[in-house]
Amino acid sequence: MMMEVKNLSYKYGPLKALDDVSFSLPKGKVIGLLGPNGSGKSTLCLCLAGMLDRKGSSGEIKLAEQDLGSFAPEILARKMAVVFQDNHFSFDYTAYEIVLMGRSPYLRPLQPEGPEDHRIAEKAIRDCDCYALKDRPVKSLSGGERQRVVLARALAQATPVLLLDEPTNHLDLKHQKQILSLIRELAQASNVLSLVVLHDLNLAGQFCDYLMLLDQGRLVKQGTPEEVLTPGNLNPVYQIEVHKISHPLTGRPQIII
Amino acid sequence: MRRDVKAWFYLLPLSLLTVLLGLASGPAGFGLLNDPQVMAIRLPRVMLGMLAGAGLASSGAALQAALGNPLAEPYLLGVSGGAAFGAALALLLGLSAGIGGALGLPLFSLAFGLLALYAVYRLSKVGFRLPAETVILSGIIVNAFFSALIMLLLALAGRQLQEMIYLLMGNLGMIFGTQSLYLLWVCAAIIILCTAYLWSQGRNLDLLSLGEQPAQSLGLPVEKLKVRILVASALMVAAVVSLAGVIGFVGLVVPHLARMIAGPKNSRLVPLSVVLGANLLVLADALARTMAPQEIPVGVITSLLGVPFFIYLLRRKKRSVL
Repeated sequence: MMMEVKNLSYKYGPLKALDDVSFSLPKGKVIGLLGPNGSGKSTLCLCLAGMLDRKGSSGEIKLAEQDLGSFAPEILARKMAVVFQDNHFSFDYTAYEIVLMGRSPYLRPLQPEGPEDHRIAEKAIRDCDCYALKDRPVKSLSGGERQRVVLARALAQATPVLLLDEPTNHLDLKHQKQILSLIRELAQASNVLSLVVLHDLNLAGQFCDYLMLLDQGRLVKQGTPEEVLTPGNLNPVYQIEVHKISHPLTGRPQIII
Repeated sequence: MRRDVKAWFYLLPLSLLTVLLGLASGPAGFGLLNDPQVMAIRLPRVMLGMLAGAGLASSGAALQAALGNPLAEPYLLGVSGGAAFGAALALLLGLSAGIGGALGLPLFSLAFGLLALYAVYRLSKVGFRLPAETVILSGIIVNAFFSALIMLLLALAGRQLQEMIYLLMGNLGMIFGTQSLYLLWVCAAIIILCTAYLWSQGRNLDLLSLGEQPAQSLGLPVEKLKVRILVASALMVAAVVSLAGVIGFVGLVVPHLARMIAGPKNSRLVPLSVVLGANLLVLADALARTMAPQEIPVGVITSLLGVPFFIYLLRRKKRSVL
C-alpha cells in the first residue's frame, strides 16, 4: 500500500475534528475525498501532509510502509506534493520561478537548478496549461491561474503521491476537466496516487477510482463511485434529498438535487 | 544580460565613489584625503557606515522573506528598539569600556533585540500565517513597550545620558564615544558571517516567503530554519545598534529598491541589498555631516527618506487588493 491510515483521530483542543479514521490507498489511483463543510476534509489533508501538531493526534499514518513522522522534511517533499486551498503570495515571483521552486527538494543550498530541473518544470507548466503565463508576476494572475501555477509546482516535485485540497477551486469548466484529466493520466502513466478533496460530487463521480465520504470527522463510507454516490449515503450526510442519474456517455454516477 | 548582473557593473564603481565621497566630507572641510588626522576619524566612520548599512539592509531582506511580509523591517518590528534598550542598559551598568564593552554591549542588544522579535512573532501569528497588518501592529506595541523602558533608563541615567541619547538617534560618530575599535571588529565579523549565511539560504528564503505550509510541503524544516534566520537578522541588528544606535528604514527601503532591480529571488536580492545598503548609509551620513552647520544624526536622514517610501508601499498595497 502507498498510504495507510489506522485509527486516526485529531482534536483541536476539546473539539474532535477526526474520529477514528482508517483506510489504505494503493498506487496509481485517484481517490476523491468528499464531505460537507467542516466534516474534517482539510484536517485530514493537513494530517496526511504531516503539518498538524502531533499533540492533538492519535493513530498511525504510513507512507510507503514507513511512519510519516520519521521522514526528514526534504525526503517527504520528494514523496508527496501538497496543494492547499489558500495560496497567498507576498512577492512578485514570476509564474515560472514559482514552478521551479518545486525542484528545491532535490537541490542543495546555493546549487543552481540544472537542465533536468528546467525540463521538468517546463513540462509541468505546459501540462497545467500555464506556459503562456510563465513570465507573468504571480500577483497579477487570477485565482484560477494561480491555482494552476501552484499545481504545476506540485507536479514539478515529481512525487509518487499528490495531495490536493480542492484543486478545482476557482477553475472554469475547461480547466476543471483539464486538471482532473491530467491527474488521471498521471495515475495511469506514472502510477501516481492522488488524494483529491472535491466539493463537486459529479466531478468526483467522473474522475475518481475510489471515494471516501466524511461526516463530522468520521469516515462514513468508502468504495467505488457506484457504491458511495447513492441517495442512501448522501442524504443523511448532506441533509438534503438527492437523486442519482447516469452520465449519458460514461455511465458513471451523477448526482442532481 | 540579466538586470541584476548589469546593476553590479554600475554599483561597483559607484561604491568606490561613495567611499571617496564619505572620506572627503566632514565638518573639517571637503577633501583633506591626505591629512592623516582627519582620515583617522573619517575612515572608521565610513567603515561603520558601510557595515551598518549592509547589516540593516540584509536583515531587512531576510525578515521580509522569512515573515512573508514586505513591510517587515528591524526598526518597525521593534527589534532595533529592543536592541537599543539592551545597549542603553549596558551603558547604564557601565559595561561599555574596553574589551568588556566589545562583548557586553552587543550581547545585551542581542538579548533584547531577540526578545522583541520573538514577541512580535508570537503576537502577530494567526494560524499558519503572519498577516501584514498584525505584524505591523505588533511591532508598534513592542516598540511602545521598549520606548517606555528606554525613557525609564534615561530618567535614571546620570553622566551616561549624552551617550544614550546619541544611541537612540542613530549616529555613526558614536564609535568614538564608546572608544572601542574592538567593537567595530566584532561587529564586522558578525555582519559578514550572518550576511554570508543569509545569502546561502537564498532559495530557502524564497520558499519561506510563500508561507509556512507551502514551505514545509517543499521540504523545509520550517521552524528550525525560521529560528536560524531570525536569529541571524537580530544578531546583525544588535551589532549595528550597539555601534551606531537606532537607524530606521534602511532595512525597509533598500530591499525594495533591490527588488525593483533584481526581482524577488533572494539569492540575488541579499548581495544586492548589502551593497546598496552600504552605499546608501555612507551617502546619508555624508549628507548628515555637511548639510547643516551642526552634525545631524544619520538616523534622522534615513527616517525622513524612509517615511515617504513606507507611505508609498502602503498605498500600493492598498491598491493591489489587501
